[in-house]
Amino acid sequence: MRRLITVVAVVAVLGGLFLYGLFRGPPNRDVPSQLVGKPAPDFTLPLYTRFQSRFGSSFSLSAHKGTPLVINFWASWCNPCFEEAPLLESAYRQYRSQGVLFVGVQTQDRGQYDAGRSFISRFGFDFPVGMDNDSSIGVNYALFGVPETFFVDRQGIVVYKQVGPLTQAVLAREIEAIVK
Amino acid sequence: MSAARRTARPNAPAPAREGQGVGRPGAAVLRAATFAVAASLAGLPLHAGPAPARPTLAAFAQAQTGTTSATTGSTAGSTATTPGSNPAAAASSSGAAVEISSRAYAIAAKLRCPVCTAESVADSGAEISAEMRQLIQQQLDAGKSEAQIIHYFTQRYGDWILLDPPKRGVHLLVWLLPVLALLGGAGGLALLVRRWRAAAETGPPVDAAALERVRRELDERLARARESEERD
Repeated sequence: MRRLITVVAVVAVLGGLFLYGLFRGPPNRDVPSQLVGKPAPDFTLPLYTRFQSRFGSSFSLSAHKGTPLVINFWASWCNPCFEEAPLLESAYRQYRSQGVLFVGVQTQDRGQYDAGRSFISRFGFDFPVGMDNDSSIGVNYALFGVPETFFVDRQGIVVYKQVGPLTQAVLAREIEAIVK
Repeated sequence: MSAARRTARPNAPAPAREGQGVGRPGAAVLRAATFAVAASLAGLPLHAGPAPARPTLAAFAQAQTGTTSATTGSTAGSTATTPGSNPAAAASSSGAAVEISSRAYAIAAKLRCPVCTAESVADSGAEISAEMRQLIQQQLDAGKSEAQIIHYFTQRYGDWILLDPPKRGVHLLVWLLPVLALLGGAGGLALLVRRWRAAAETGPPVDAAALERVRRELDERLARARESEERD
């Protein structure tokens, strides 16, 4: 009898663990960003030609102090980047009147300028986009993958980092937070 | 040591590029690693083209002994154009081959590849790891120490980027627990051996009642034996 109770208890515990493993969903492997709450690292990003008449040959973060920024990192090989791109562009058109500026940073994509240009044309980006050819900006921003998006307030502080594709809700919520 | 340099291509086999739709090239790297293990077990060649540009242990050993690797990466990026007409970007885009010293490799081996599963920056073929190796080399060339370079990465990625947890705070547990477990196990074993030895010297403990019962039984049997002898 005693042995039976032990066996039932062991099976119950193991079965419970098994069911927990089955239904707990994918583990959250995101590592909290060290940058949230800190000043966004400065960078100078060479821009694609089509943006140069309006934004200059390069985009410098330090030259945009006081402007709320949405910094989006993407690569031409990344499918989720394709998925979120239309959302980014429509959000930019919707919120730019509130003074927010978007910046697209093509990263982890060394030398893929043609792919970058076709990506930009495909989605008709109106905000400045440039190439982080040696991924140094990406490393400075401690990227794990692409896409990742940083929301920077008027004081130049990173208030939120989105890992993975953006959603309309996240965009609206975080833009509200940085334009305050 | 700094003369010993090895060559790696930053965006060569690019498992990251194969990982379309994943967003993070880690899964592609894992697949590539699985394929490599399976192929090596089956004795198959891993590639049909030129030698793999990924860092290999053999190349590292060469670098350690001071021989120079002559492998150069392809110049796939050399035809790339720049956004606008930035000559600096053009120059960097053509530099597909990245040379890193054994010292840079040793530092990279301590850092975790951000997009891989259980792979170091030194061993990973992911593009971001190649760029990080280059960044380490640049910082070494600029005269920075290993501690400064490690600090640069931990400042950005946190302690997560270190493959070995730092020997401080709660991380100390990782270092101390195995030692404590070993000591505890050895102590437990010593106690057991001591108990076994003592038991062997004194013999097993005897129950007084059982001893009395055995004595009584023996006396009875002896008595019965004597009676039967007398009868005979």
